[in-house]
Amino acid sequence: MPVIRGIKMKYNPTAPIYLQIIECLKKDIVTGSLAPGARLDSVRALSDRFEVNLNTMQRACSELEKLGAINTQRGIGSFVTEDKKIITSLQNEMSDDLVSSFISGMQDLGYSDKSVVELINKALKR
Amino acid sequence: MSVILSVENVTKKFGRKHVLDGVNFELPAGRIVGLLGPNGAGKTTILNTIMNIYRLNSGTIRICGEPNGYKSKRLISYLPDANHLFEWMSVRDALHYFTDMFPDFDIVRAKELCTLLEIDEKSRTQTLSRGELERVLIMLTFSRKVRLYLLDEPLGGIDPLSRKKIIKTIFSQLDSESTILISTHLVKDVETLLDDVLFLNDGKVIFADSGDNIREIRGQSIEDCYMEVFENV
Amino acid sequence: MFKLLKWDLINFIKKYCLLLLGILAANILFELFVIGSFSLGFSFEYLYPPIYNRIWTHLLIFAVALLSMSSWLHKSSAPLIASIYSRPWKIIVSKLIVAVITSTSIFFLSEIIIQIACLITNQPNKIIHYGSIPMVNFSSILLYSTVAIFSFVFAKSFYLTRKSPIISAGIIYFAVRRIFAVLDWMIVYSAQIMPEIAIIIPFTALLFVSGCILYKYRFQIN
Repeated sequence: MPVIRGIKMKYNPTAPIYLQIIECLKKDIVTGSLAPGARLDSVRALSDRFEVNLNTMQRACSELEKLGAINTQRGIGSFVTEDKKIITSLQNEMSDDLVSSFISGMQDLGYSDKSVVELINKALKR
Repeated sequence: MSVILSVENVTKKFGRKHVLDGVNFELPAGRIVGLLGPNGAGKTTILNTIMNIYRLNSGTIRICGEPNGYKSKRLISYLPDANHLFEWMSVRDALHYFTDMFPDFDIVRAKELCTLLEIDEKSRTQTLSRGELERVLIMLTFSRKVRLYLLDEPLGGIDPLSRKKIIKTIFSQLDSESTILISTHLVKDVETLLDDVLFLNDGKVIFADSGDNIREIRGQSIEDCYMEVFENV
Repeated sequence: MFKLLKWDLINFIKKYCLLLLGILAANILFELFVIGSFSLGFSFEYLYPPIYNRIWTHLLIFAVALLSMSSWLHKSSAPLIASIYSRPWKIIVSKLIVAVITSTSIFFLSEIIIQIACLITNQPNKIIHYGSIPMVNFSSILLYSTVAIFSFVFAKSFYLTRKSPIISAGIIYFAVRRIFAVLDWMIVYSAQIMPEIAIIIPFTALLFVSGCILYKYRFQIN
C-alpha cells in the first residue's frame, strides 16, 4: 500500500484545490514516497484521505494522467509511472519553480546575483 | 450529463411579500452545490418549495425531469434545519420508521453510519445535543439512496468534531448519479466541500459559478467572492 | 398503506394517550350526569335540552379528528411527512381510519363502562342514544370525521385565517354539517325518498374525494 504523507493537508482556499493536490502528489512521486509503478488507491479512497470532494480528486488525477505522472488501466487501477524520464522532468520542473521564485524573491529584496550565491553557500555549510 | 434539479422562474409570496422572486438554476448530477446567502434570502423557502411543503405561485420545478409533486418525493432526501422527527422517537424508532416509510432506505448503511458517527441507537432524540442530533439526522438522510439530497444548514452550531464527521459523510455520499444541495450562511466551513455555488439574495439568484472557476479565474476563495458580491448588492 | 396507518396510530397514541383518556373520562361523566344515565337522586336531564348531546358529540368527533391530523398541525414535523412518497388518498384514509376508530372506541368504551357501573350499583339505566353502535351511528361518526378532515384540508388549502386554521376548519365543519342536515331533512324526512344511510354514504364519499383532490393540488403545510 503506497504511503501518502500522514501530514494533514491544509488547503489555501484562494487557489484551485486540485492544483494543490497535484503538487502534493508530484512531490511524493519525485521523492519516491510513491514508488515508480506503485499502485494508487481508488479515487474515492484518495479523496477520503485528502479530505476533498470526489470531483476535485478526479480532476487532480486526470491532470496527473495528462502529465504522464500516472497511468490508469481501466478495470485494474492507477499506477505511478515507471518512466524515469517523466519523473526526472517533474523533479526538474518543481526545482526550477522553487529556484526562480527564490531568486526573484531575493532580487526583490535587493540582493545581487553574487550575494545570493554567497548566502546559499553559507547556508549550506551550516 | 443529466439534470437532477431544474428551477425555472419560481416565485413564492407570503401575503404581499415576495420571498422568492424569479429563481432560476439547474443542478447537474454528481455535484455538491452550495446555496449561499444571508438569513432571510429565501434559502429555506426554496428547499421547502422543492419539497412541496410550500406551493409555488408561479414557475416550474423539475426533479430528474418530473414536475414536483408527490411522485417526485421518492427522488429526494431532505434534511431540514431543525429536528423534524416526532418528539417521542428514539434513534431506533427513527430507524424503524425510515425503513418502513422509505423503500430506498439502506439499513446496513445506516448501521455503518451509526458506528462512524458514534450514534447511540437507544438515545431519545429529544435529549441529544445539537451536534449529536445533527449526526443522527445526517445518518438518516444519507442512508437513503436517492438522486437529490437537500441539506438545510447542516453545520450551524455544531462542535468541530461533529462537523468534521458530517462533512466526511457528505463527501462519501457523492456519486455520479446524485447531487447534494447544501444551504448555508457559513461560507467558510464549506470552502473545500463545494463544487459549485449559488448566491441567493432577496429571493433571486445573483451569482452562480463553480468553485474552481472562482479560484482560477477570479483568484479568490469562495468566501472572498461571497463578500465581494454581497457588498456590491 | 398499512405502514402509513401503523405509524399514524403509533404517533397518535404516543402523543395523545393521556389526552384521549381525558376525553374518554369526560365523555363518561357527560353521559352519566348530563344525559342522566345515572340517577343520583336527582338528574340533570331535564335541565339540559337534548341539543347539548349533539353539540358534545360533534365536539368530541371534531377534536378526535383534529388530533389524528396532528402531524399536519406541528410545523416541525412537516419536512418528515412531506418526504413520504404516498398517494394522497392513502394519507387521508389513514388519518380517517385513526379518527373513526378512536371516536368509535371512545363512545363504545363509555357505553360499556356505564353499563357495568349501572349493573354494579343496581341502577336502572336508560339506553343511551348510541346503544350498541348500530349502522346509522357508526356511519354518523364516519361522516362527521370525514367532514372534520375535509374542513381542515379545505382551510389549509385556501390559506384561510393563517394564524388559526382550526377556527376556519371549525366554521367550515359547522357549515358543511348544516348543509348535510338540510339535505337530510329534505330527502329523508320530508320527502321520505330514501333512508338516511343512502345519503350519508354518497355525501361522505364526495367529501372524501374532494379532500383528496384538495390535498393533492392545493394543500400546504405552512
